[in-house]
Amino acid sequence: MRIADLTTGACQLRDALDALQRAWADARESWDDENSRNLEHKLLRPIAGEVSSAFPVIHQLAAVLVQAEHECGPW
Amino acid sequence: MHESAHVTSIDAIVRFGSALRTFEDDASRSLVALEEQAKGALEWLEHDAPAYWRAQVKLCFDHVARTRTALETCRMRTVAGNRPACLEELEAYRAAKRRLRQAEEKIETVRHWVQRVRREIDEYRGRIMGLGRCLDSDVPRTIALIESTVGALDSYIDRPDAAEEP
Repeated sequence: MRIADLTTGACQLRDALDALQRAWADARESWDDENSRNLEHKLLRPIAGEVSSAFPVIHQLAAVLVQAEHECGPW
Repeated sequence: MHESAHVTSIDAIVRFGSALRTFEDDASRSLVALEEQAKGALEWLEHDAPAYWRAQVKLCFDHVARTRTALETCRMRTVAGNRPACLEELEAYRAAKRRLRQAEEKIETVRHWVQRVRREIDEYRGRIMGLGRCLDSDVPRTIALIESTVGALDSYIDRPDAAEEP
């Protein structure tokens, strides 16, 4: 029994970011001006930072839930 | 002064706008899924686990009563004028008491983990708040900006004199 599956959500989040970064790499080949640089600095890098900083806390929560289940589960 | 737009493929920007929309959907869905899992786990800890251990305490309590009765019954017996040692019954009684104590301790253990998991979930929610804000406001705003940029570029290309400009 698992009381929670955080791995699937974390993987979905990572995949979503990977796809976005691939799409941006493609777009950058055809778009290089002030707007594209702004977009990269003001949106894409912060998003990547937010997603990256979410992973440790997701893993931490997942580990705590596994331990909680182990300690509080049935005989 | 703003530098002029440098775009060699409008389609590439359109594709990126679409990728950004997909990211918005997928990332939002993953955050919802993570939140549901966390809530489910807390629900299990707050309701299912305590209910299970309360029921176990009751069962264990009944078992202690049964083994105590068996032990007392055994001790009242005499075999050829002697009192039997009733070692098996005594061990069963002690084991039942141990199990009852373990079940009672589990209720306290669950209470401890409820607090710990609540703290961890709060920590998680605090940490992903920035990403949530990005998905709720920055990403939709950027999608709108990309759409207006593409619209402006399309209008520019559609101008009859656009091709003549350097």
